[in-house]
Amino acid sequence: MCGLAPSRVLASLNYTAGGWESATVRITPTNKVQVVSGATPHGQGHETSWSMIVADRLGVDPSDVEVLHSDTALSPLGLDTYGSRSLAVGGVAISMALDKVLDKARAIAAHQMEAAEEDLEFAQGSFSVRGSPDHAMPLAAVAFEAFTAHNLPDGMEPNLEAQVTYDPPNFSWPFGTHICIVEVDEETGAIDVVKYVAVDDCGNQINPLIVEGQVHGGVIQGLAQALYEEAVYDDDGNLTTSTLADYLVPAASDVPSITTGSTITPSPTNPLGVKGVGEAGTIGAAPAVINAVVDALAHLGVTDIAMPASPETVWATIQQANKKANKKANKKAGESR
Amino acid sequence: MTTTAAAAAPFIGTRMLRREDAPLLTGESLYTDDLPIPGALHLAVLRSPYAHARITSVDVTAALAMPGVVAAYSGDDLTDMWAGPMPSAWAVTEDMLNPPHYPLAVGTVNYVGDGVVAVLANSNAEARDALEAIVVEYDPLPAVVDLDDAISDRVLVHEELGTNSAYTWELKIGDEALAQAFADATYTVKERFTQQRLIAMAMEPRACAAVPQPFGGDLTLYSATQIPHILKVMVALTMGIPESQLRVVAPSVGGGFGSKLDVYAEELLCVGLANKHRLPVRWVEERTEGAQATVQGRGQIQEMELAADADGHLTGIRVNLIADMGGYQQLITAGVPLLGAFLYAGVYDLPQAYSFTCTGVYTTMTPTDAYRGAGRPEATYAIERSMDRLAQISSPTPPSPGWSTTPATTMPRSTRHSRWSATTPSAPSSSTAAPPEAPRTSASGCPPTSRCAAWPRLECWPR
Repeated sequence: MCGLAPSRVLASLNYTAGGWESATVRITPTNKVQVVSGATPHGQGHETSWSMIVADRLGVDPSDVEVLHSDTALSPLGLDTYGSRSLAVGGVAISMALDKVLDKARAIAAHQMEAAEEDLEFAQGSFSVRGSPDHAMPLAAVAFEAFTAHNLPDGMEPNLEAQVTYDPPNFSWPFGTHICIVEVDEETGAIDVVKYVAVDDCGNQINPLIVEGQVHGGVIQGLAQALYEEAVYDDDGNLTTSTLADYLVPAASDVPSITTGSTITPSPTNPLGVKGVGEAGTIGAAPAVINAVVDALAHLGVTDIAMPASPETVWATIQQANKKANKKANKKAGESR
Repeated sequence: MTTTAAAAAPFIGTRMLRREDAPLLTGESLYTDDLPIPGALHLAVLRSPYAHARITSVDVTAALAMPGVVAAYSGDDLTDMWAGPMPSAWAVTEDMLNPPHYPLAVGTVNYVGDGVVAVLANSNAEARDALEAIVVEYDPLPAVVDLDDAISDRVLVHEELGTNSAYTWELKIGDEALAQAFADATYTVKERFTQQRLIAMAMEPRACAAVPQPFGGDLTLYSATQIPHILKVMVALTMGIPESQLRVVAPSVGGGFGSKLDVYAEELLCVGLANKHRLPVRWVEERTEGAQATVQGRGQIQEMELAADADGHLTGIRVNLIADMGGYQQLITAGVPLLGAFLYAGVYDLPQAYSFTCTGVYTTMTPTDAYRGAGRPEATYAIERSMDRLAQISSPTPPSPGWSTTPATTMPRSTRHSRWSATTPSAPSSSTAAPPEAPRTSASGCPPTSRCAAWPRLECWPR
């Protein structure tokens, strides 16, 4: 359940705001494309992803797409980045703004080329009359005409710009399977994650490299909850893990290689068929790791283990299971005597 | 651009290198604390060393005499600065108990790290040095650090509320069916899981800077935040200033993981004090300060009960949560555990027999709030661990893959409800990545099979 969130669902949960996202696409007279996004990246790579979406649709180079964000003076409308929502809500808003910009551009091109709109094709950044590819008008020329406004269809507003606020009809529902193999040292309680495989379905992928990065980071964060991290308070309410020496954020050397894979089932609820992936790794990892640890210790009678399954916790859990088993064995021996 | 690996369209679906990375990796990007802001005053916050105490006196005289110190304020000194308490945007029930929470504590402190005194000085070092000269006297109260203890009300965190329970929120689907499921169950599982508190520890700590503009009384707030837009609205409301006078900018932000999805005391202090002194005011968090005073994640006890028939198929689930709010509500503290309410059946084939109850309790620890996944990793953990246990007790051999999961013949399911879905989504555009499959749901939003038992069914959600 990602892509937070349909505003009316948030209303049903008594949340004070909505879950829409806003986007503006404008093509400037200097032939640059500006995308204004209300999603606010803090490491996710929105600029790259948004430029790819725009480049494909408008037939421009991604480097000609300027992505404006994270400044309320540049993008007054927005609901920001969290809950795997940027692409599934903000990206879809951009796609819809692109539709509107292209519709307007088509009308201007048809007017200038003295052709019917339905006779125009748009490919590689240029409108042309179907069947006579020489009769063409590049988008840059359309944008300049929209700017000068010297010869626009009657009643049309100048400038090539469209703003969309998109409220998703539903959450998105990404899914996946995470499988983990661990080895546990019964003497020390140390856990070695031998293999970790994550197969996630986040719908259509804009940039598989970014998707993989999100899954990697997410899995490590989930694995960190399973094996390493805990904010510990003493009885007086002092946080005893308030430095990076006490609070164990795993380093690169502490974590396994991750094998990732994906299936692609486009989301039926948005025109990009996307679902979002920022949280997927974290959701799958902790249960996969702990189920593996419990499975490895099941023959000792272990049925559960607390997170984080630190060596100390694992060792103590094994000792407790052994004690229980010994007691049982002694009792049995006593009975048979 | 030299950083783009792919040269020609289509770009979607390619592993194009991130255009963000060159400036980030070469140190060219500016984070909030890197911003050159000449003449800025530096804020430092004296924090409570007690988890729970009454503030009996605050003496800043010695601090004011320290070099470079410009001003020092207690919570009582600043009560007139706020139009209202710090924002909590998610009162999950109409009657949720939410004690007022101000950027600096007024009367009592409720966690170690709760802000008590704000100092302004000409440098960060001078501001932090001055904290040591402030004398605060406390009347300590007992701490509440255990959720079972908290819910027992043995010690009240906020005495005026009369209880530590902020709210109880329920989602019940098929009460009778659920009771029957447990009565008829061949196997039951009863587990109790603890979701330990986590600290996001973003590589970039929190930081903010409020800069009054030379004209019009406007102010720009730079903050290492995930939510500049929401922050603008919330700061305007809390300060009682028009939105038109406020611009919020998030420069390069070094990770958030939910912890920067919030409105923080230091942001409000910087804005309020910058307006008061008509000078820029900036603050940067120290690592230990962040561990104590940036929201933490998780913090739940989950009681899970599963009922299953003789074949090991699930027939009912009961979930009872105690969710640790910490000392106060932050922006969406109360709502986080509820985001899991709709996922406790996981991928399994659960009939309409489900009960979810969550009680949010105050403790004398750092407030909790969103942390990557927010409620959904907790839910997935609980159901996957419980199903693992069910497999152990109900099956002499390890279960086969797909055991008890939703049968493929009932897929796809839809959670869309016609009431909320006025428009049928348009077909995926032809220019998206892979040739998309046609949407497999019918126009009504229901799958073509008779098993329209979509779960969670949105119409079951409380309104």
